[in-house]
Amino acid sequence: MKISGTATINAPQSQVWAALNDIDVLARVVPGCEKLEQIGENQFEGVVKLGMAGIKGVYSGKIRLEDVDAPRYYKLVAAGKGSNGVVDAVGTVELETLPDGNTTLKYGGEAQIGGMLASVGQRLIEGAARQLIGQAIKALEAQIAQRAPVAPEVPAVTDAPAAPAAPVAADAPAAPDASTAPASEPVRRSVVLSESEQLKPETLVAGMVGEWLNSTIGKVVLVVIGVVIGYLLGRGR
Amino acid sequence: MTSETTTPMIGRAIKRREDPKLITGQGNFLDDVKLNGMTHAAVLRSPYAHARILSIDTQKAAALPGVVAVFVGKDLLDVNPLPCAWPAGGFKNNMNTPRAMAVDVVRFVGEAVAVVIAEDRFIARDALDLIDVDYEPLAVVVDPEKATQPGAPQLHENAPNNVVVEWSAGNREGTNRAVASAEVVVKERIINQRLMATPMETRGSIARYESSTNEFTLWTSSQAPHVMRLLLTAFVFGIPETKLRVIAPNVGGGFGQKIFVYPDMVFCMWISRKLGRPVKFVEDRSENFKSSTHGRDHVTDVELSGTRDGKITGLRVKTYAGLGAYLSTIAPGVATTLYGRIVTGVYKIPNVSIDVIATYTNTAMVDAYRGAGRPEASYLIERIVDRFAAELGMDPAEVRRRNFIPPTEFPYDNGLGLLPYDSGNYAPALDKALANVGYADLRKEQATLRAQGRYLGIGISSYVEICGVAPTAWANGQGWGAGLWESANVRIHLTGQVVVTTGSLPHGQGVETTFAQIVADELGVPYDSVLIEHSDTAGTPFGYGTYGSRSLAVGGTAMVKSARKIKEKAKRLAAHLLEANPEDMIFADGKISVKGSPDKSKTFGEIALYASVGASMPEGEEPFLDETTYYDPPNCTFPFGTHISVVEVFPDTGAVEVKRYVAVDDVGNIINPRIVHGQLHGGIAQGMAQALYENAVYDDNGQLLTGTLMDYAIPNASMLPDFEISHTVTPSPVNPLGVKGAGEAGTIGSAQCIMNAVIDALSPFGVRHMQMPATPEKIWHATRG
Repeated sequence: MKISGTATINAPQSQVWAALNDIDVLARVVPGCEKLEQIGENQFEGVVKLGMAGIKGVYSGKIRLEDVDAPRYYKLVAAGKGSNGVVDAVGTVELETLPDGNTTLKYGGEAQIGGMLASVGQRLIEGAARQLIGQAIKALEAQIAQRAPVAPEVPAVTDAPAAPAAPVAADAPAAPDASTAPASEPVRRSVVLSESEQLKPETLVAGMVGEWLNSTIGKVVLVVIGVVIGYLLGRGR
Repeated sequence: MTSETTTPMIGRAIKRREDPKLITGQGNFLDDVKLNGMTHAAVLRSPYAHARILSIDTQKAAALPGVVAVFVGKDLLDVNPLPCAWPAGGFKNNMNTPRAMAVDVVRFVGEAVAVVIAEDRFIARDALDLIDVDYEPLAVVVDPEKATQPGAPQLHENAPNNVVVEWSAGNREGTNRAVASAEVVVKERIINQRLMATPMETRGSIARYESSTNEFTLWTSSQAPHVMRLLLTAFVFGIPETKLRVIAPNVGGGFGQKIFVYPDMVFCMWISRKLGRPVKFVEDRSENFKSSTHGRDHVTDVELSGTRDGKITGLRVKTYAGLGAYLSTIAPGVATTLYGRIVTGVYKIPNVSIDVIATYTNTAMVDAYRGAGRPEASYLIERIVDRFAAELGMDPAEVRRRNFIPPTEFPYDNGLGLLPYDSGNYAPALDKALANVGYADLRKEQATLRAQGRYLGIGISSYVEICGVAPTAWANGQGWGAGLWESANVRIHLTGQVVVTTGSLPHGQGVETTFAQIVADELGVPYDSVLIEHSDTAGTPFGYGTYGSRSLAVGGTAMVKSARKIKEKAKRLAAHLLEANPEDMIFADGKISVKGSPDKSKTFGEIALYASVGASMPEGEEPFLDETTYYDPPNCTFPFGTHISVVEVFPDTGAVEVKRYVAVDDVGNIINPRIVHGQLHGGIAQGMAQALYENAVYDDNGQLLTGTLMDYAIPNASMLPDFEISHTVTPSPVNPLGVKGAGEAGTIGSAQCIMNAVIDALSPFGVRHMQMPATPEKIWHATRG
């Protein structure tokens, strides 16, 4: 399965890059992420709970970042396995500043899926993956917005970390208890999300399956997701 | 028992005696078997098509409450890999058969890696999630032709280029000359796609070990219990054959898949001995799809040469046959003998040459599936003959007629090393089918509709196949490693009830009914007083089982011969009682009487009583009427026929509507027309499904994409037309019943019948061939160039 796409994020490139290297952020933008741990420089381990086409499973995986060219590009090599299958993926993430100061995020990748996931869920996997990526990007945008300095038009300092210590916008919800250690430091750190903090993929997958079935329930779920995302984005501005 | 005359049962379309039980939920299938202290197995299967197993951690799974034990491949190294019983000609001596579980390397998705034994099946399944396996993925090849190419991933060290068998038959030089010098040559790449047998009941095993006697009992959903007993004891476990009893409960369809020995039989037996408790394993549908055998998977290049006036002069075939990651029980023979020796079909072709290269690929094992080699052969020849007719612009019915083997040439040797075709008369079956379908009018209607932008297609298939697969000496010459005769014991109990035991067994064929019809007529006893017992090695004489449409021609004949032995003895005993000469006795209408004095007679019931009590036997006679026959026929039988289908394709949607399906099948004499029709209906449905719906698809990584019934399309009744079935009858000279076999004929005749019709319908778009299945997508694209 090959997937690629482009998204525009309403934030400067440096903030996007910092967010993409901050496991506190990543843990909250990966759908179904229960735990994310940095085990070394550019190496992560995580646990993700996903349901697809009726196959629910817990997957543990390792992610390695390669060819890192801050704040512009990295390659991501991921291997995950769970009771219902295995996923081996290679992807790239590339950032570019737009004339209006916002950032384009180009992503591309190829995943090889095995086991029950492949034989049962194959027809739905590509659609599901696209939806999950879409959800992740929106969540990323929301996270960046939450963490952004009050005045987003101020040019960001290129080497600034993801400003977890910066005061949070007054009307934003209280920032999660983010660690203060910079993302680049090869310290073993882990983020364990409580159930309420996890980005729930179930709703999304339910929405996807619902859409596939063209059922009213599915549409309602999608509308709810849309409203929630819209609300988050609106508050971020 | 009275001496009342029974009307002949042979030829009567009575209902199947098996059905009341099966259709009212009173059948006893494998999963219905429950034993005291029984444990339940669940299998962890490889998600990779090819990978090295680096480590397996079963600790967490073993610690789950309710889990009894967890075993991996290394635990079972004290038993042998499964045997392959048919290393066919051209075999490369690189037999690689599966073990009960993979040890170091997995070679297809679904290969067993670990087994959890638990108190119930749900706990066992849950525990699978707790097993952690580290794999190192290896390169994968799934295509049988690509597997042979330089640089292809290698499955087994002893099989360079993944080649198992290089087999050829026919006359290569003559064929090369015929093709080189021909007026017309048509060539095509023809793919016979991989199929999944999809029996309604999946497979499985239940094993019980009794430590006091060291005896196993294995209940398994099988078409050949005696063969399973032989292979599991003598080849896998190395224990006396007598230490295993195999029972096949009611079997919910097999289609070939249940002929073979499988890993679950081995691990259930091994674990039951280890734990001292019975072990049950029943596949779910997805496991059946991934792990039990598949069928077909041929990639073939074929060339047919002929004259401008439609005479075929040569046929040259090269086939790559995928056998999967390991060899299943009879796989090499299916791809060679049962396919390559009958590729000329119903035609007299002076020059024919075939090469088969059978290969290992990272896929589930491929073995016999309804028709087993013959559907691949008949699809190939019937497609290329249609292609030849299209090239000549000649009516496909006429091209067939011009090349049929003449009825005067039987027994006919086709030049491919097959036994001679026993009997045949192909033109009458074609003529009858043409008449039944109204061929001439249909061609006119086709032309009229085409002018209106509607696309009708007419497809013809004239087929011949090999049934009653048997003669042992011949099969041994083909590399078959055992016998192929069949057994039947007939006993007459004191009350006159007839008990027949046989090594044949039904899994949908209704042979309890057919066999009882035969025996009732042969002995002149009421049908209801004949009991047919089968499927248990403890209660039946050794036999090779049910496959290759052989139960009636071979097993049924054994029964007739046993019944005739009984009659001879009954005559001797009656002669003794009547003080007559045994040679003067006549056995008719349930009575044994003295020739010329019909009032001097004994009923068969009186003789049965007399023999069973055995109080005053004549000199040299044993009490009881009990005779056994082990019957090995002199030849196979060769059923044939012509099928014609009428389809309409709809270019806007790519849909195909099968409007008519006319079949004329010659299966020799017919014992029970209802059962024969049922067999033909099911067979035609399966061939039609291959043409239009079914396709087992692996992606390039060896993942089975059609792993559920949502993705693998077996047809339901609404997707099939009414079948218009009739017969010609050319009795087989091979057996006293004159029967040929009907279990596979429908499948062997039908796939090409539908494809020829679809391609005929699409011919205005320039379509000359299309690979199966003819899905709406393919057709839609084809209508758009």
